Amino acid sequence: MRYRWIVAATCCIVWAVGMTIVHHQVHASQSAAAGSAAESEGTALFNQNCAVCHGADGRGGERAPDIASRPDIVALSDAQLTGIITKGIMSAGMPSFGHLGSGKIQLLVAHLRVLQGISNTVNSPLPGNAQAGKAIFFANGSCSSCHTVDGSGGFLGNDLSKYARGRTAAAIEAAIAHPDNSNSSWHLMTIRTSAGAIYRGLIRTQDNFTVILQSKDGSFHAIPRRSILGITDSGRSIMPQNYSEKLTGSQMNDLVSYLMKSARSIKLISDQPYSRTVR
Amino acid sequence: MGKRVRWRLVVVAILMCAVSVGAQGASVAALTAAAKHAGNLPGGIMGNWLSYNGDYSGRRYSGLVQITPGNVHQLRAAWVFHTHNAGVLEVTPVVRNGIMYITASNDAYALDAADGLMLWHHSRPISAGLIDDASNHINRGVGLWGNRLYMETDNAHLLCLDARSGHLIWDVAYAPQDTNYGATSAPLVIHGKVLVGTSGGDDGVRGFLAAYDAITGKQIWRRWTIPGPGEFGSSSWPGDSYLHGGGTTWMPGTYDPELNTLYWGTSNPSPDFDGDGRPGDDLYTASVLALDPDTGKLKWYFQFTPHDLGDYDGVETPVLIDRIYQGRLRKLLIEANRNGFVYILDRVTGKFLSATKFVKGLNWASGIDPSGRPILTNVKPSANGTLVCPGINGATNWYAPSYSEATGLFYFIALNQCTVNYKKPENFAVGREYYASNSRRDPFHKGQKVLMAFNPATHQFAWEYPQIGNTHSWAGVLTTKTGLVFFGDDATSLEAVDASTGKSLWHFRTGQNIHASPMTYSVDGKQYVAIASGDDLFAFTLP
Repeated sequence: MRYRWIVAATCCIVWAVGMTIVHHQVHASQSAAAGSAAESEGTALFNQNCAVCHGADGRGGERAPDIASRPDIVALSDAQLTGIITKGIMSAGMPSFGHLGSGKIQLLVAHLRVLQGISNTVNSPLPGNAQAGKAIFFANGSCSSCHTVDGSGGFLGNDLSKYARGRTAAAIEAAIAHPDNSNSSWHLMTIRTSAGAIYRGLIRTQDNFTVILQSKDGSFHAIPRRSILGITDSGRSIMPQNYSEKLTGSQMNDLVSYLMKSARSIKLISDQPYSRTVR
Repeated sequence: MGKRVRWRLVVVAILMCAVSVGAQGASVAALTAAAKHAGNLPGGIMGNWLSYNGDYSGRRYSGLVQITPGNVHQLRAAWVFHTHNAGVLEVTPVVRNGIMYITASNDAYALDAADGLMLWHHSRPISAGLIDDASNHINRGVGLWGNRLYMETDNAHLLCLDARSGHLIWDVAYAPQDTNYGATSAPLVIHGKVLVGTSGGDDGVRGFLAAYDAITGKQIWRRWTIPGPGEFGSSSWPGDSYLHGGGTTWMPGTYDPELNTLYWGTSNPSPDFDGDGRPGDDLYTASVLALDPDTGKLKWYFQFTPHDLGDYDGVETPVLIDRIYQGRLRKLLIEANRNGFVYILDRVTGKFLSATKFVKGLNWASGIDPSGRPILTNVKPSANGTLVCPGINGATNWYAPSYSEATGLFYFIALNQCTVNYKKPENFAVGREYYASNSRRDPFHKGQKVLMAFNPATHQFAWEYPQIGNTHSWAGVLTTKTGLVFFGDDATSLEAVDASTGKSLWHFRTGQNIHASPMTYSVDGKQYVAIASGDDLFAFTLP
């Protein structure tokens, strides 16, 4: 009797899981279909307007530079690329494409990002409120105690100003909710030495001879390997593992939105005019 | 866990807390002490090298005593750091508390100064669309203020980075973009103000020096080096020529904290070889300016080469020394100038005290008059070309000089080389150099570099060390309290000589033309000498 019950329950579960997978696949392929329609139009637009000079692969030619792999062009924001396409660069012989309209230019930028190896982020809507997300990021004891965005924040973690570039909202949320514990560069390490010292922090670099650890106060400690009695690896990222519990779904969407908005902004490459005040 | 182990941990934990609190306090105390040391103390630079020139005086004189004439022959390579995307390194490393900060082509690196391991790397693409010197994307190094690090980019942005991580805090464009401005220097930080200049003196920009707030990045003052209409000296700049007058500020200056005076040099006027459109002295080009660092107000100026036609920039380091001069203790400024004379000025008043010729065959002037003004010959650029000595690369250039308190001698590298300079009128254009028009190598003489040891008291050279090489080095000089002179020679070697005699005591062949100046520092009681060569950073130490 018991076995039959278990078999029936298992079949139900398998069926439910299977339907969920199918549902996800259908959903995914529907959005992929919508996505690829836009991609095809972007490809067509690129081939009609840009490929003549920049090549179908964007790698440039006699008449125009490589816009697919040149680091200074890849580093431009979507807004900067939009500006260049819209206005052209007269002095370099690139015409203006403003006549295409902003919708088509968005598709061009998206296609260029594909050529650059950065997936389409132009058309992704923000899942929440970026301003509210900024407040969460900079709240006391929050992300900014380790991470920097747009010049403010901490030094222990990565600069996240451009992190969202080429990443979907779902991927960003996953990275926050489930920090990558596989990368030991981010593990809190405790190092005991024969001199009786204990160091706690992140290992920034090491070789056969030296381990360099940065502690939470920012100091770097170069520890000769031969003096190390033991290194205790916490086994997981120093980043808190429970943001999915600490933040509501809506707060998480706001935080992700802040990161996405930051990656699209051009604030860091300053175009503020310097003051022409003559003394 | 046994009780004893637990006690030990507690003790260590308390010590760690105390050390970390103390370390934070110590770093502030170290900064304050460094600021005090930066003045005119005879001991010079010690374990840290806190700015491009090591301290504010520009003497590049180290008080470290571990490496001596007796043991320098044992010096050996400690480590090499390779920068992956630099063209040629012109950086002088900055070292503070065992961390070395260097710049390459728009990149910054923090290294462990004892073994060269990289702590962080701030990467930024090189800029397109630059011309002349800036298009080589060279960078001379960083300035520091607390936990912040400052550097220029090739397109004249000032970056503020977090020195603990390399993260960007702010980025300010301090010169008009898409023009002939660029930057190749290292910022100088004084009183929480970051001082920056530009390149472009051969490209028709209007030179300036600017001060930015170290915390906020806001501009505090800007001092144009070419006067505008109605200002003193504007008679040299008719119409709108002042907008293209040159006089750029492309090397770090020096600073006297007691006098609260900043000394900063300016480049040649534009266009280099055609002076017809800029009559008169062309203030304030080819000059040293004495400024108030808080306001940018000009206290005095001295012009080395009025109405320059030889591309004789006045940006060489204005080295500040205190010594007995003509019978009494005096605050002096000593500079080996591109025009072929080594000058001594009173740095309080700017009064000219002496000028001594240091290259052979100098033909553009027959001497310097008692007021400090050159007595011109009729040698100047012409349509068919004129042989001018020293030539376009100068009798010396930006590579660092050094003054040794140990010997009382001023050391610098001279270049004995003439060039044929052509004058052909040109109009200014964005995207083009503005020499009007160009110069060629002397067809008959290759030229030679010479390490000079100048005695300011006697105005004579205690010794000279002519270099065998290809004149492709652009390397400077370092002196130490133990009586050593380190310099990059003209055949890719870092060399050490006896400061009193010039006798060579040690060298290491780096295998690459050296375009930078040596420095020295210590970590955990061990002294190192470091120099950038090619696109690598070499560090040396005793066994």
